[in-house]
Amino acid sequence: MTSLQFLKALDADDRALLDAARALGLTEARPALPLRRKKLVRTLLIAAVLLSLLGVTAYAADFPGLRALLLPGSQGMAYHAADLPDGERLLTEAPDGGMLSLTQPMALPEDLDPRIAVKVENSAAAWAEWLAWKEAHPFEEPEVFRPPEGTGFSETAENPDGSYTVAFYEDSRWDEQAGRIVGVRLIEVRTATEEEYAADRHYKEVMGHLGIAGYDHSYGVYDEAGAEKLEELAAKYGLALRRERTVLSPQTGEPGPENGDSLETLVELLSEKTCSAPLFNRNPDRIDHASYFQEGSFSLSYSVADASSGEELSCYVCSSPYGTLSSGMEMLEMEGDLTAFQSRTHTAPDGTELTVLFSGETAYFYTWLEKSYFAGRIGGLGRSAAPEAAVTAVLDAIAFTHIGV
Amino acid sequence: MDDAEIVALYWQRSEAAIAETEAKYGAYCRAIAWQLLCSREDTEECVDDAWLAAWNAMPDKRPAHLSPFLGRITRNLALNRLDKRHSLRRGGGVLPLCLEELSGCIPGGSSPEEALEARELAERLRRFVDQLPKAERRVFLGRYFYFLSLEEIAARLGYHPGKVKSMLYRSRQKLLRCLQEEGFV
Repeated sequence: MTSLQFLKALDADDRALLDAARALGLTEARPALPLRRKKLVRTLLIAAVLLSLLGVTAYAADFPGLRALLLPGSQGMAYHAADLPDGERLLTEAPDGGMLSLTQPMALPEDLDPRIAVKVENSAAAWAEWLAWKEAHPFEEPEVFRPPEGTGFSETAENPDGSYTVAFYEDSRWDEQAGRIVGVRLIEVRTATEEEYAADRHYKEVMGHLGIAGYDHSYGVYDEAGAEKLEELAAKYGLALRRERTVLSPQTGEPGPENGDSLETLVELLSEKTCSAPLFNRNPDRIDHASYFQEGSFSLSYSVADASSGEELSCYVCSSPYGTLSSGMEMLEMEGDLTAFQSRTHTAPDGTELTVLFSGETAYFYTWLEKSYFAGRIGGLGRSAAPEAAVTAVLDAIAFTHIGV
Repeated sequence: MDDAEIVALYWQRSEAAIAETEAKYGAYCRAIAWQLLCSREDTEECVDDAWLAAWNAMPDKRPAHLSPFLGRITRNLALNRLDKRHSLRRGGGVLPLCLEELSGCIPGGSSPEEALEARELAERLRRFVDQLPKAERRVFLGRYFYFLSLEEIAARLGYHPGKVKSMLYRSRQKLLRCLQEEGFV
C-alpha cells in the first residue's frame, strides 16, 4: 500500500472531524449564528411572547446601555475570536458574550414616545404569532426525503422506470477507486416517485432562494399559505412588510464606483429612496454594500479613514422604520465580552441624541429618530490613536434628522 | 447561512452556492490545503478544485455537515497534488514528519486485492479513531488528518508540546497493535 493510499484511508466519522475542527479552531472564522436554527426560533418565540404579553421591557436607566441591543436568551451563546501568529483564528466559548440586534430594539426607554412604543410592541406581538404559526405549519421536504435519525449523508439516483432511489448513510468517506465521496454504513433505502422528487426539488429551490418572491427572506415565507398568514398579521397589527430588497453595490450592476458611477451617486440614490435629504454630512471613503426596501428600511456597510492613524474603520448601519414587521434578527452581531462595553450619550451636530457603547475595539450606537430606529457598529477602533474621537467623527458624519421618508 | 441552506443552493444549481461555501468554509479549506501544499498558488488552485468537486457532487449527494465533506475533498485533492509532484516525502509542512511517524503502521507490498484492502483498512482506521478518547482523538486528527505541527496543536488545545508528542506516540502504538492484530501489517 502506498503512503498516499494510507493517508487517504486515514479518516474519521463526521462527528469526530467536526469535534476536532471546532476544538482546534479550524471551523469557519465567524459562525453566522452560534445557535442551531430550531433553538433560536424557540428562544425568540419565548422572548417575543413575553414582550407581547407583558409589554416590551422598559428600562429606567441606560445601564449598561446594551439591553436595547441584546437579543434575549443569547447571553453566553457567543465565541471569542483570537488571531494566532500564523494567521489562523482560534474560537473559544464566551460566557460573557451575546448577540446584539441592530434592526429592532430589544428593550424600550421608559420615556419613549408611546406612539413609537406601541408600534414596536405590535411588531413583537406580530412576530410571536408568525413564529407560532410557522412552528405549527412547517415547510418540509416530502416524507420520503426526510433523513432518518443518525443520517450524515444521503444520495439520490434515478431509476430506469422514472422512480428514484434515495439512500441514507450514517457517514461518508472518500473512495479512492471511485474517485468521489461515497456513503458509509447504510441506514435505509427508500424509493421516491417522480412527483415526490419534483416536490423535493421545489423544496430545495424555495429554500435555496430563502423563501418565495415578494418577501424579505428574513420572514421565511415559503408558500402561499405562509404569505397569506403574514399579510393577515401585518393587517391585524397595522404593520408594513419588507418585500423586495434593492441592492445598491458595485457587484450588482447598480450605480457604484466599479460601474463608472461614483460613490456620491450611490449615496444620492440611497438618500432619495430612504431619506428626506442626503444621508451623510460627509461621505464615507468606500461603500461595500448598500440595500433598501420600499417601506424605508435600509442598511449600509462602509469604511472611513481614521484621522489619527489613517487606518480603515469599518462601519455598518441599519435604519428600521417603526411600524415595519421585524424579528430583530435580520442583522445580528456577536460580541464575546459584553462586560467590556462602557455606555455614554453623544449629541450629534443636528441635535440627535445617541447612546454609544464602546469597548476600545468596537463601538455600537443607537438612537430613536422620528420615523425609525437607527443603529450601527464601528469596528477597527483598536488601531486608532484616538478611538473616542474616531467614534465622534463617524457619528457626526451622519445626518440623522434626514433619515426616514 | 447554515449548511442545509447552502446544500439547497447546490441542489438548485445556484451559483450563490459557491459564494456561500467560500464565505463560510474558504478559510477552513485553505488552512487544510496550505498545511499540505505550503504554496499560495497551489492552495488557491486546490480550493478552486474543491469547489468544483462539491458542485459536481451535489446533487445528488446531500451531506448533513459541509465541514467534514469539504474537508475530505480538499485534503484528498491536496494529497493528490503532492503525489503528482512526487513531493509526499519531500514537501513542506509537517507531512514528511507525519509519514515518518506513521511508517510502521503502513501496510507494505502490493497485491491484486489492494483496492479491497484499502477499503477495509479505511473502515478499520475509522473505527480506531472513533474509539480513541476524545482528547486523544482531537490530537490524532489534528496531526494526521489536518497535518498541524505539534506546536500548533498544543497552542490550539492548550497543551504543552511535550504532552501532544506523548499523546501521539501512545495513539500510534495503539494503532500499530490494532493493525497488527487484524493482519494489515
